Amino acid sequence: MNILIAEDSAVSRHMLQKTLERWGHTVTAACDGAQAWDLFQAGNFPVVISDWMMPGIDGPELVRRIRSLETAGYAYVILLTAKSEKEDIVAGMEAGADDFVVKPFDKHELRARLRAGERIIQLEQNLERRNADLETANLRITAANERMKRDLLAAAQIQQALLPQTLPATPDFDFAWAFQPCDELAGDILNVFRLDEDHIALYVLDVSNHGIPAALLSVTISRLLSPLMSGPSILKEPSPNPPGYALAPPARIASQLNAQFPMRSQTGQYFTLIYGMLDLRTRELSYVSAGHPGPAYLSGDALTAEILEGSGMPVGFMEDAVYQEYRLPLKRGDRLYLYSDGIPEARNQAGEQFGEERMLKHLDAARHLPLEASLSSLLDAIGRWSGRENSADDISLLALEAK
Amino acid sequence: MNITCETTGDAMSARIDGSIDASAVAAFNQSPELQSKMRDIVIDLAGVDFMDSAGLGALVMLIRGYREAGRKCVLASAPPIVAKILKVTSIHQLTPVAPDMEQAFQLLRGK
Repeated sequence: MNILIAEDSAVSRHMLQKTLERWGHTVTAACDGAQAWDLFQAGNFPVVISDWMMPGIDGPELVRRIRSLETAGYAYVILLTAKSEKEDIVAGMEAGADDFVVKPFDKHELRARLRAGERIIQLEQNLERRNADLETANLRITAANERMKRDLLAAAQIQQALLPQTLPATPDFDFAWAFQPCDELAGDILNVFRLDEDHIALYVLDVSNHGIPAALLSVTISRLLSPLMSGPSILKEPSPNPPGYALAPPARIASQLNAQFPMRSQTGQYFTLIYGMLDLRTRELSYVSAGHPGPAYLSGDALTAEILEGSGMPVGFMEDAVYQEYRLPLKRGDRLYLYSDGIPEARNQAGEQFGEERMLKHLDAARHLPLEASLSSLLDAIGRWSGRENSADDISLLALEAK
Repeated sequence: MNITCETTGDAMSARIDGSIDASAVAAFNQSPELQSKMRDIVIDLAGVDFMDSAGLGALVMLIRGYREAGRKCVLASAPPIVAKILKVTSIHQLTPVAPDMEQAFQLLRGK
């Protein structure tokens, strides 16, 4: 080990140096505190053995200076002293000394104390190395984390691009929607779009669980249920009669999805869906619910605010599930809200759910507001209810109003 | 969540107490009685105070496991909050739902 010794008595210094060198150490000797201080700053000494009494900078002062220095490693300092009074030991320790050897020193004792110092230096160096390793690992984790965050944001942008960019323009109906994913990526998705001149499709779907697996499925289904300009799809079946296709009724769409997306036994992943098709000529909505909560209906005459019937198996539970279709004629002023369970199941601090009744009450109170504003008012109410910035579940809302 | 299984003759009853949530998948898989599938089963839901969509998925996987093993399965005694979910999701298409344990066992024996 590299040892710095500070001793103003030439005889003692020489003897100490020889002893230490005999034990295999590399010794640098200083003849007073000032020289030791210069040497210490210029070199690398894990161990310093210093006389207590020296002219100018004495032992305790040298230790104080060493401790005030921000060095890379720890320096183990042993003070040599003729003093053995308790108060002196305390003063030396307060200055920062690690150990003391009484002069004239006993070689065996010095050697034993030096070994104790070596062990501490060793521990300190191991700790240092481990800290450096941790630092490196931490940097790597931070970098990986940032990369994942970037990927998540990019994926969220892809998902958001699948939300309605424009709303179908019809003289007889207004539409509005709101979407609040609880994480970057959502298991919910919704859309409203024109199927053909006389029909508009609208849906909300909710994949079980959260995160990337749920988002991947929601994006897949959303692509499948998107309006294609040409060619047959799950929404438009080929037909021998003009215009060459027939719109698939909602119940058939649910059956088809159910056939294509069986629950995977490893993950238990499935989804619920409410899909409606609005006939602009008859002003009738036909819809199917696959395990999704029934729509909220507010009649234009302000007499009714209720949750409509709608039950059916979530998609994937059972191969040959049967789906029932519901019909709703829409009168002037009627409003209909499709929503995901993130709304009724939003909990307050006490764990109480927001519930369907409260949802209906808020929507009813927002009748005088434009359709879009009625959604914001409900979302505000849920935000106040849950008292959190982010909800625990994705929130989807899709509304229509008959004019 | 707590699962208590009891064998009566050629059928088994499994009483579930507490919440059926995302942790139910592991809880069901780690119950040797539930996994043995040696007998028809009545799942007693009387003690369930909460069930979310992940929990429903776990319950359906359990039911499907019994069906695939050629065993019958009946859900019984669902409290209102659970019964509502079972109704909205038409679970009766997958497996019979009985209001109480007595009728559940009758359904098992009747078929």
